[in-house]
Amino acid sequence: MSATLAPLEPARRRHRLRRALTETGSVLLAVVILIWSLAPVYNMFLIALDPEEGEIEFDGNLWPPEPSLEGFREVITQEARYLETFWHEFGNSFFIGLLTMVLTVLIGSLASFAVSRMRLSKGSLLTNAALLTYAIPASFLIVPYFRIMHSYGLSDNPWAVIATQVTFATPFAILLLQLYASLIPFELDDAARVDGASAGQVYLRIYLPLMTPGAGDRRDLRPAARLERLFVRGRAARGAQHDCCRNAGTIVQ
Amino acid sequence: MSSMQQVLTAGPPVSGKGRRQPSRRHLRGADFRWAIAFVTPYAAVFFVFVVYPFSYALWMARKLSLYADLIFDPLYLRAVVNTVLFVGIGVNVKMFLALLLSGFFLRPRWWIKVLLAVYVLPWVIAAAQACVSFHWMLQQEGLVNGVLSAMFGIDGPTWFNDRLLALGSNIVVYIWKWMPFWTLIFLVARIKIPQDIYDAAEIDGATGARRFVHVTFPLLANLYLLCSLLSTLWAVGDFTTVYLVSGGGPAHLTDVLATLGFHYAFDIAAPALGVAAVMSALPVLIPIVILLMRRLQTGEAEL
Repeated sequence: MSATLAPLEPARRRHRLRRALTETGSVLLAVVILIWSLAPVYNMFLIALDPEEGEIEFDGNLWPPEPSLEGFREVITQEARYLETFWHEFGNSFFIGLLTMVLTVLIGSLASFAVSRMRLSKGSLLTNAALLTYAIPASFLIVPYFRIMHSYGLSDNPWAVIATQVTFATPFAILLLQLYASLIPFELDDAARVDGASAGQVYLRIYLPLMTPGAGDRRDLRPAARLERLFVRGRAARGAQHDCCRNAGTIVQ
Repeated sequence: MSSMQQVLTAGPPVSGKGRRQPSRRHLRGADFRWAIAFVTPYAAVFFVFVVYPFSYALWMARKLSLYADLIFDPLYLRAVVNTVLFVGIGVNVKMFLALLLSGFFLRPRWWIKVLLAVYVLPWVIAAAQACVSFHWMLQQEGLVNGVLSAMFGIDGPTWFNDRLLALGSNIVVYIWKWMPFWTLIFLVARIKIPQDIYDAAEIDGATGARRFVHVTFPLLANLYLLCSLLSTLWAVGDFTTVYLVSGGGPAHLTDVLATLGFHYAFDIAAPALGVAAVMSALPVLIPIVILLMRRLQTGEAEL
């Protein structure tokens, strides 16, 4: 018995040692990753909580001895220098962000619908254009943009920012929406077309609802339920529709 | 830039296998008009804000004498060297570390999942804020030097007074900002590798480092190359990091092409020269773009 176990023992011990080493290594690596990822954020907190204005030095305290929210108060009440119009700028950020989002989704979903669902010949040209935009470094076009926005009369106007943001966000939207669109069965479109829906209606009532990732949990079948409502007066066989809806529901997950 | 990068996580826009393809007959009548109406907004954006500015840039940089000026400008030559260093070191180190770390994040431990959430933070934070924070950290009496003197008793250097230190700082910040994103890409790709392959490899005796060299890396090599190319394109155009961390300083010694173009155009009022400076990178960028477009379209990005 012991004779057969004997050669196993060192091997098992070596195995255990190796395992302990990997575990320790993992923990060490985890600590390094934590410090690496959080250092600049921590630095921002230190500076923000420092009671002294204009202070970016590190004085050896891991936590400011007298943390103060004075900095935040000055910003919110617009007392600080250079920040007299803080809330206006704050509003600008939201205005630009919101409009960029809406326009990107609108333009991107329309284009991806035409290319992926409407059998548009030469549709790949559009995808190519999107890929090309995706690959151009935006910073290389700073000077032309500066001049062109001026000639469009958009200098000092948030719409100039919105336009460039939309320009460089839409290609991504098109590529991603196209990918998801390929997961929706074409039978859905066909069924709606048989029922006499125009392309616009298919886009509004089928494509958009199924593509809305923001509509809560993508697992729920609300879009599919909406489809059913659309099809209530339909002529196509009921059973097939249920199948389609279920497919769409599960696939979109 | 960050919002544009996610498309790789989802893979290329290829239609599902075995799914019925739309028949390739031509559209007629009302449908054709609908399709044109749907495509028009994007086409308009593309022509007004991509084709026109790009042509405008080419037109601005059309004079050959501009390039002669550039070649005799020591600032330009140094910026080219800096760009090569910034992109070459930054992209390769970042990609390699991302590939290794993606394996680490695959380990089945609950705390590693928590760690992953913290690890992607740099990618989520806006680049400008992070870069400014780094700029402050690396000041003479900032956090980095403070920690150096408190823990090791070393007097830290003046980071932005030395060309190599400043350039190194830019590269490190660039890696800090973009490594999480590529780690996620490789993580997804690694999850997609079937376990059978690893089982078979284990029977053949490939474990640990050998498993990585002979199994994992060959399977990911294609994706790795593709990601490196795309990342190279974006790194060449990276303006924020250099502009906000070292500011191109000391004395424009760490400027890359993107920031040098900006400097020419807005500081010394030579916009044509600035555009020519960035456009001179096109002979390198265009082949990469063509290669990428081909690969992305044929769906080779998929594992």
